[in-house]
Amino acid sequence: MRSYIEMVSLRPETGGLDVWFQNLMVSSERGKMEGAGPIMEGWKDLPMELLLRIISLVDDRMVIVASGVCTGWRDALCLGATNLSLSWCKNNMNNLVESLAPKFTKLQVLSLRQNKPQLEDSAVEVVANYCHDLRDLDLSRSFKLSDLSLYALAHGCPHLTKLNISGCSSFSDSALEYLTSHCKSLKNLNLCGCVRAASDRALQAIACNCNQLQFLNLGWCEGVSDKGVISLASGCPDLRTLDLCGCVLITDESVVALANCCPHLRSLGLYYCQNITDRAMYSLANSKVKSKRGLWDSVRSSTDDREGLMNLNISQCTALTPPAVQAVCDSFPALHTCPERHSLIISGCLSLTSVHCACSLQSHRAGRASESSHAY
Amino acid sequence: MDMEDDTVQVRENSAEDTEMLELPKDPAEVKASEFIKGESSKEIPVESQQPELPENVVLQSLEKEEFIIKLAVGQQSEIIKNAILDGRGENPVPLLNVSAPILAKAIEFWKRHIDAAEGEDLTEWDKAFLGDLSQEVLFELAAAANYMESKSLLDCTCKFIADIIKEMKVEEVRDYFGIECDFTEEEERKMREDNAWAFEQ
Repeated sequence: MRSYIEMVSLRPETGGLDVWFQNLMVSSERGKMEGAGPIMEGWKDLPMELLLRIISLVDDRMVIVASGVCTGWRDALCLGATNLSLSWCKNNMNNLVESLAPKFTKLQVLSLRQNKPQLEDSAVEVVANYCHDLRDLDLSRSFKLSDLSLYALAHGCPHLTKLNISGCSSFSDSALEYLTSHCKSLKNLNLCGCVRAASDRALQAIACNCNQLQFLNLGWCEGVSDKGVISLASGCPDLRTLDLCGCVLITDESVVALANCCPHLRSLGLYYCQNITDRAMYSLANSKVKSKRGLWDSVRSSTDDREGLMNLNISQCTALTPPAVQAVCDSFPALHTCPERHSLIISGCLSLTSVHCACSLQSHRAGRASESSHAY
Repeated sequence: MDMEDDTVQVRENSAEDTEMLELPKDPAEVKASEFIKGESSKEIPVESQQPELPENVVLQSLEKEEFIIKLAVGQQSEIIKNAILDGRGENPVPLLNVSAPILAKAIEFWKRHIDAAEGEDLTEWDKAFLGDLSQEVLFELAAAANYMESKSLLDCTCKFIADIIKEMKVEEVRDYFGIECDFTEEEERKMREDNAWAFEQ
């Protein structure tokens, strides 16, 4: 202890800070101060949270560099890194995943989105074997993957809450069913373009297994029909966002089921669902009335912009008429036709240009130049 | 590297001096004394019901060296802030993991940031401040910012270090920070392979 005080009293006032520091580091080996933390001898002993913080300010490739510097940094990163993206990898993603997954076993969020399809089943199997804490996995555009990947994930990553397999056209519906029977905590599922996987059968399995589902993208899944969506509506009451764009088979029955069973629905995509008629619109408009339980609820929900539909895409739904759509607009104050917050999308529906949200009407009344009713 | 004398005073820890320290008062004490004095027949204003905060804070470094700073300056560290605000009246605040010259540097940083005019951009000053430091001091300062939970200092030092290592490869990082490779031959080989893949575009 004495040596420290001696050192301090000899502390130079200018310039010699480095020399002082060197001396202190040397003298520290003679004995530790009580209560002081572990003596750090240099950059290799950088505390884990500090190293992680610095690396997070660079990029994910730096994670690879930094974990190759020394054992201290490698261990800190492998213990502490929970989020990793390899989407920047243009050519060697498969090799890197196979090499890194066994080390980064604490990963919770992993993005392997590809521009050029590279990922193979072997890499996903390695992820499934080592990263059991995985919650969020992005495998979008993994054209080369087969059902083997889904089976591996079902066994290795049961805690998945978010999975993006959009564009993975090779997956079958039985493999997807299998996955959902093991990954029951799924809240967010992106199946956009998964024509083979997203069948009515698969939707029934999802309805059965994944009751916490909130976000589902079924864009361009042409095989989806009312049967699947109705099951979904009853099995997943927590649905907030459902994209049925391009699901040409569905009819009003699907929308009625959603209106009745999913009170938290905020965003609905019906682009190109040309079988949809006014009946679907009225069921949505009336669902707002039905969901009011008590006086307090109704008071709250009428003023609460966050309740009820915020986004509705009915582009190309040419059977719809203005009164029906206006009824929906009136029921949900968060739906907007005004340019600033445009959330009611009616492209290709020339007859619907007279529909207005409450704020567009107000500004019209205020005498400002009326908004040009434009169809896209 | 001058130590500014007007706000940062380094003192020896001596018996007479402690009596001069302003300790936060116990709120119950405040109320009672006013009542006894009979001065307030009116209602006690809300502000005096809160524990009185000292204007100055005393920090104690690893070597038990003491620094007096204004409260506002010290509040840029969560550890210091909590020690004062939770009313325990822990004074001086012990910072056993921070050595005196590093603490002095931290104080210099905090003071400059507190004195900054509204909306003044300090990025250039920050860069110059950190750029002046040797690597060892930079390291210690970052570690101290982490320990003392000072977001402003932590963000600044981490960003500075991140910018240094941004484009570096493994060997360059090792060289720059003087870190020796302690991998086995096999581990080193695998590491090189990974990095080759990562950098191949």
